[in-house]
Amino acid sequence: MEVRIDTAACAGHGVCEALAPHIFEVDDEGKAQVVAQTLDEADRVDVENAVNQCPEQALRLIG
Amino acid sequence: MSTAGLVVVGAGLAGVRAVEGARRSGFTGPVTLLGTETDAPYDRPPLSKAFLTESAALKYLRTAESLRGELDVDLRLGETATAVDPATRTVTVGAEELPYAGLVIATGSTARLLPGMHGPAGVHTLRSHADALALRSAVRPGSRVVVIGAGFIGSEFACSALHVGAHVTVLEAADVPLVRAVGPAMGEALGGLRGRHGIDVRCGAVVEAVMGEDTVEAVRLADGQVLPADVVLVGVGAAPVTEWLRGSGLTIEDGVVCDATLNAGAPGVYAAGDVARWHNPTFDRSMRLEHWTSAAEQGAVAGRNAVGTGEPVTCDVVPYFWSDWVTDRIQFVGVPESDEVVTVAGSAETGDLLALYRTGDRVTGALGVNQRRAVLRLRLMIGQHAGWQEAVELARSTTVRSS
Ligand SMILES: Cc1cc2nc3c(=O)[nH]c(=O)nc-3n(C[C@H](O)[C@H](O)[C@H](O)COP(=O)(O)OP(=O)(O)OC[C@H]3O[C@@H](n4cnc5c(N)ncnc54)[C@H](O)[C@@H]3O)c2cc1C
Ligand code: SF4
Repeated sequence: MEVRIDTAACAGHGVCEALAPHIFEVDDEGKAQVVAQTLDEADRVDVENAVNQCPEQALRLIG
Repeated sequence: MSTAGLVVVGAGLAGVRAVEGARRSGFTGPVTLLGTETDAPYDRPPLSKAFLTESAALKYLRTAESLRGELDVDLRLGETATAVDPATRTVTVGAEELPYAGLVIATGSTARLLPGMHGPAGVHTLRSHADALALRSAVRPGSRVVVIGAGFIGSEFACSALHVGAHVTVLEAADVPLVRAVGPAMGEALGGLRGRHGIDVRCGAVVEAVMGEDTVEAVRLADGQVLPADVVLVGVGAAPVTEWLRGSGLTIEDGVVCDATLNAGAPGVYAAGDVARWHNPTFDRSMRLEHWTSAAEQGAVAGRNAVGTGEPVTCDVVPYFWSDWVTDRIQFVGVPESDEVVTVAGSAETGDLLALYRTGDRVTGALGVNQRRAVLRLRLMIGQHAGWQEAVELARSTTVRSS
């Protein structure tokens, strides 16, 4: 399981970080980054929520 | 259709999220999504921004193929529901009575009109793809544009029109714009941001008539002034689409009245998005929002609750909206009513404003201009009912300063 961030599309709303602060963080440039070292099945629901709620469709879950 | 499943009325953001929410909760029964518009569900915020300034393409939330194929949805575009009967659990669509086990009302809102002013060509509102297309071809370099209403849609449109080289005047009947959205003090402060973009806003300007026979020629104000115009945008707010629910027995009070789980008072009936007025547990009060993120959040909850695969969950929301004035991003979180508003950093003129809203000893709102990180941290704090001092300290340490 992997999550990809389309940095060009990300507009820094931080919805992802609000939903899953242990996985996402918005940096000083206003772009989301994945801060979790690894993702496991327990994170799936959180990641799916973030993918679905991102206003810019900048997140993709692979696997 | 023999078995009644989930019916979602309104194929906008909340409707799409409802369908997704139902499927993600494990529901495998039939799902029908009805939408008046013929486009596949699309995103509205770009319509007043990149769609106008960069001729960006329409951004779909999900394609028709993906809805039909991946989510197994009976997607019926170009079809309008005209009534609901909670007693028989049916929705009327044309001559058909469509049965439902669960229903999500997601009919959104429409642009409010000014009586008697929409006759001549060249007078527009901005809500749909069709509206935005019409505006995109009408506004040209050198066009004389008059915007009636200095709300967020009017302000964004004004910035975008200016950006493409039009001459723009914004008329606002109130003395201070955006009071309902951000409160009086910050409504005033955002005037500084308009100045930064060179937008001419006339507050206290009451429009008396739109002049022109077939095509608009000018706008006349109550004080007798006449402003020549090629394009007029009426941006005086949005009204929830509830007319079709008259006779349903559901309670309608500026939106469909719902409890904390978005239930509309009848078994299996839920509402989400711009049309829903629900009890938001985070603030322990009823509210109706017209914001992207809450429409998405509510949609997901309503879809899941409507198919009843688990205990109904409540919809706890810290309101959030953004508005892009070409390059400047305004963000607001929480609620605008407060005991005090304190500017923690910067100003609107310099494009780095951060202000906090205090209610008692809690932080209940925040407004930022280009303060993305701080605003989103504050959104979390507001959701956690954080104390005022803590919020002020966080705000001071995460703000950026314009250089
Ligand atoms: C130009 C513009 C810019 C915006 N910018 C921002 C922004 O920057 N930030 C922000 O937070 N929010 C913004 N918003 C608000 C945001 O887009 C809305 O809150 C969101 O679209 C609400 O989604 P919804 O699904 O509730 O309603 P809608 O998107 O209105 O969708 C409802 C759908 O239901 C259909 N429908 C209505 N009645 C029926 C019926 N009886 N039967 C079948 N279908 C029906 C309608 O045709 C419509 O397609 C903007 C809105 C607009 C118009
Ligand atoms: S929610 Fe989407 S746009 Fe916002 S920060 Fe996360 S990835 Fe970026």
